[in-house]
Amino acid sequence: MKFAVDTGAALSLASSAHFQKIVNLYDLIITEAIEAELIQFAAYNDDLGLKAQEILKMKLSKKQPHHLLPLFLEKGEIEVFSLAWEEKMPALTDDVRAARVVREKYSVEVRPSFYVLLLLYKNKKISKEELIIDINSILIRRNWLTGALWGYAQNLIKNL
Amino acid sequence: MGMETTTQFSLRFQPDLIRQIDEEAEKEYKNRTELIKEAVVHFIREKEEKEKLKQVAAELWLKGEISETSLKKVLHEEEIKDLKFGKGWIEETLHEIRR
Repeated sequence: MKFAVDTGAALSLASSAHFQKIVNLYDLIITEAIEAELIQFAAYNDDLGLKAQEILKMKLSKKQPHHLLPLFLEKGEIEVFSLAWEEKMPALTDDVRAARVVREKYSVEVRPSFYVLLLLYKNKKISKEELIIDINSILIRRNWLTGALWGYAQNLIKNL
Repeated sequence: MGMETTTQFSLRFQPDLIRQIDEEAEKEYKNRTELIKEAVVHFIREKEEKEKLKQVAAELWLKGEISETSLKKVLHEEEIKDLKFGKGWIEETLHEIRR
């Protein structure tokens, strides 16, 4: 299964203990703008910087959309959603606002990054305990909105 | 206690603003650097406090403990739209997995 992945989602998934398994099982595709953002993150040796360095070492597939959807978003997100739209593949993002903006206009399948972990669990590649531990480490709370929503998601996932 | 590591970088301000900074610094018995540093720290702390309040309100709404009317006292219209979308988005994703 293929996914077009934005920077935030890639960084979240890189925080999973099963990132290597994810990369082996699923084709995570980035675009040039996403690669450029990851290179910017990788310039720092903080937590996110180290994750970005790890992602860049993985040599994820890279592809550009032929046309860009007219969306009022960052370049990286526009490229990812345009690629997902063209290739009829799901896009992964943890940016709730960006997901809302694209879903209001286009029928692109947009999922939060933890969807991939849920798939691993559904396909019995990881246990429920591993899922919960991973979810705790990947749901990086970047602002008040993800802070509240990821907490809500964690509670629902515990009752799966 | 050890010396805190600092990094030097340059800033460009309009002359009027520099004059205002210097006047304020003098009133506060601080130098230009101290005043700017204090202002930035204050700005970040205030933003963090506002974010914390928004998160608490959003969490209470998600738990069904406060109404949308109460939520509107803390979040603006677009933020409420984001929160509502996010709730539905998460529920839809989990529904997809349960199928």
